[in-house]
Amino acid sequence: MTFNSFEFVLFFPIVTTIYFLLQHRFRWMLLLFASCIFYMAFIPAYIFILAALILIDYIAAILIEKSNDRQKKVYLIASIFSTCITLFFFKYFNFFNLNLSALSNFLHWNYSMSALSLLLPIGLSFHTFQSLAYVIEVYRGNFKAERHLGIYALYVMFYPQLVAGPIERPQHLLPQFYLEQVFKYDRVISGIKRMLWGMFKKVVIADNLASLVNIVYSHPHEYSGPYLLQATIFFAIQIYCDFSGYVDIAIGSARVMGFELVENFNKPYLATSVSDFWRRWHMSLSFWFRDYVYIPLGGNRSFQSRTYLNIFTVFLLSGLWHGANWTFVLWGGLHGMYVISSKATVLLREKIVRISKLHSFPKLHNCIQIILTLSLVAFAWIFFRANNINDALYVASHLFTGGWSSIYEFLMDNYLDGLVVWILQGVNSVLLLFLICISPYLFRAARITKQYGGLLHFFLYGPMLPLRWITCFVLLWGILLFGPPAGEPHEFIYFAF
Amino acid sequence: MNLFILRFDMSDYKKFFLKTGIFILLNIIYWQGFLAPLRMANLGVLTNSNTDSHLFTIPKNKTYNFVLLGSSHVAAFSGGDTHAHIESMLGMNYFSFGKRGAGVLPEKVYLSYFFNQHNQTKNVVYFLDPFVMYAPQYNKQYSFDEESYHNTVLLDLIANHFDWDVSFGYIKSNFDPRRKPSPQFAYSCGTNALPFSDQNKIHTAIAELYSGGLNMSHFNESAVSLSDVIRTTQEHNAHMIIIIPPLLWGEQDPGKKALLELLSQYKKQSDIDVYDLSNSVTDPSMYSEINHLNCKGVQYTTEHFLKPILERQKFVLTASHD
Repeated sequence: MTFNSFEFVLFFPIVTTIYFLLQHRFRWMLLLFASCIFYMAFIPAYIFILAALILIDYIAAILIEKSNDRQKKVYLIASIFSTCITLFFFKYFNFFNLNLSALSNFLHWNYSMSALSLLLPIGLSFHTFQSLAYVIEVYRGNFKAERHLGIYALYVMFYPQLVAGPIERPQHLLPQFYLEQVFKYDRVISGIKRMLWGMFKKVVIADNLASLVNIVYSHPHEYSGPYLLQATIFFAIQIYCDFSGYVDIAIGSARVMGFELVENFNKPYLATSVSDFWRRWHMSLSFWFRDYVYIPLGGNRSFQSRTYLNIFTVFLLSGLWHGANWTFVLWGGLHGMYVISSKATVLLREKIVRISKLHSFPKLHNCIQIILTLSLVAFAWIFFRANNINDALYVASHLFTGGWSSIYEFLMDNYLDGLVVWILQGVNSVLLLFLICISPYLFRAARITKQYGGLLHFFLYGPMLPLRWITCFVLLWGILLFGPPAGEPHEFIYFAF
Repeated sequence: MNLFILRFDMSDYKKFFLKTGIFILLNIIYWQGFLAPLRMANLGVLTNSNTDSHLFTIPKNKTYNFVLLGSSHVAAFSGGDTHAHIESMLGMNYFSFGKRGAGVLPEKVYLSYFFNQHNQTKNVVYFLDPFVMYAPQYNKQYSFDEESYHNTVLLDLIANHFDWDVSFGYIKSNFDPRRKPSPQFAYSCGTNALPFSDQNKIHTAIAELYSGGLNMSHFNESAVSLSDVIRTTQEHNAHMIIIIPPLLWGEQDPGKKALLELLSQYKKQSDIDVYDLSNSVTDPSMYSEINHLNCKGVQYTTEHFLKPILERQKFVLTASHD
């Protein structure tokens, strides 16, 4: 069951209605049961793997809490090992097996092990990381081991964030299950609006762009530079709307029931550096790697070279976390290189800013930083999206090929011809004129609405009731009418991880 | 021990349900009052013989001698000039629900809508292909994207457990502002004639039609739908005639045996007529391609089989009235 399926459209209101009708002490049972149904809608048998992982980490945490320092470490390692081995077995075994086999062929060694024909349990990377966060926090003494198995299971399985995060910390989510939630109009409506906006981003923006991106990325060798560039830019928008759309639905659906999940995005494409991007993009994963890998490795407390190595390791692992494919490893590595080079060139860049007097124009400086960061991030997405390294290298090396004539041809074929016809159609030219006339007011409105958290928040949550209703109306009909054709619901990209 | 909360602070609930109710109502008004009529305008003249999107053409308050149900094998009896030609041959008027790949479930929806529009017919003749009984793509996955929108049909799709994608696609295809309603062109019988019966092509055709194998669970679901079709027909005082259509491969059809057994069971239970014409037209020159009768074949089948069957039925009816 995915958030953009009809099953969920029925599932969510039914579960929420029963949830608010039930006495508080029974609600965890309902949520756990609903989460099981949600998970089992994918591959039912995999619930046993999840149950085993839950049980192992539940027991390990209690043992860690009860034990002395030395024993504690043993239990922690055992817990981490069992969780990681499950992740390795389902997600990385075939990848490593394939590469070992290629290596042994190259070295003329005798190695043969057949590939496993297993499907990756949905959301495995997410809930294993959430379980690990729990055990590590208990080990560090930051959180008391949960004694209630049902509540702990719910922490791992809570259906809004079960399959694609955000990756929660026990301190944040677990205590919320003990709080008695009441039906509050404002909170419920805020949650529903967040879900609606998330669905709009996914179904209307991401899925429609996906159709265009998939055509090019399925056979990149057949397309010239402008098409590759367009597909890459579209993919940058698609993946943001896809993943942040999912997170909006997750946060919104949890909010309706009274739970607050952590935010996972903070306008990532307005980041002014790649490091800044990772503080805004998939924040729960970035902070997970920071707290449980980067800092334990030594963080930036050691020599510069060691810091760089730590950064690079974290990004390689982050790439591998996304998928068992060299394209993801390269994507992670590329981001690692970005961050390292950014740190290594701080002084040089400051000098350039000083010499060019850019610091006197902070807005322009900011703008240049955003554009540069966005370009680097979008370039790296090529490796994330491509089906294999050959395709990725082809796209990366042909983005700007074809010359001006091909750009002109591309623009005429795809945009300008249609635009001219569109403008020449009577009503549209009036509409265009109207838009041009009101555009200064729109900019002004954008500035005024800053106090409401931006234009979108003003439209969805602002003080004007008709505007709020019209926005919801537009979002709803946008989802119903502008989504991909029925029968082709696009899966969320991050479900594959 | 109470499982449920017995006392609520209702103020927030009231506010929520009132506002949500108004919002839903406004959306329904927009949908029904504005979108639906707008989408149906300017479609031109559509008739039973120029489109297989039957919901565009099902009339109101009309009486027919018979209606035809079936897949493309029936559509060939109606597309283009054939419809008028057959009506003049038989001296009867009819409405055809023949449509490419349509199984029992979509045909049931068409027939229900036909009767809902207060139309009447004396006979329902179902040219039932065995293969449509065995696969969901001919039944609960059958697309209604090229049909006009009617609330009753949407409810019927949901009530008949069509896949959600079918119902959703039905709504979307009708209200998607990027596309105009697009009725399907009528399938017409061709003039081409096969020189011989090619066994390789027959095996390929059978393999394609039965690509999901002889799935008995789907067969049983289709059997329930078929029994519903019979009941609906009889509730509207019409007589049900089920015919296994002429097939070039006749006895080789892997799904025919189970279907005949089912039909003989239904025949015992209710007053229906069953005819197996699968071996009746074996001359390849009567077929435009391996799977479909050409116009000559359609004419031959009408003349030699459909006409006597309907006239016999006419006689039975007259005799029973006498």
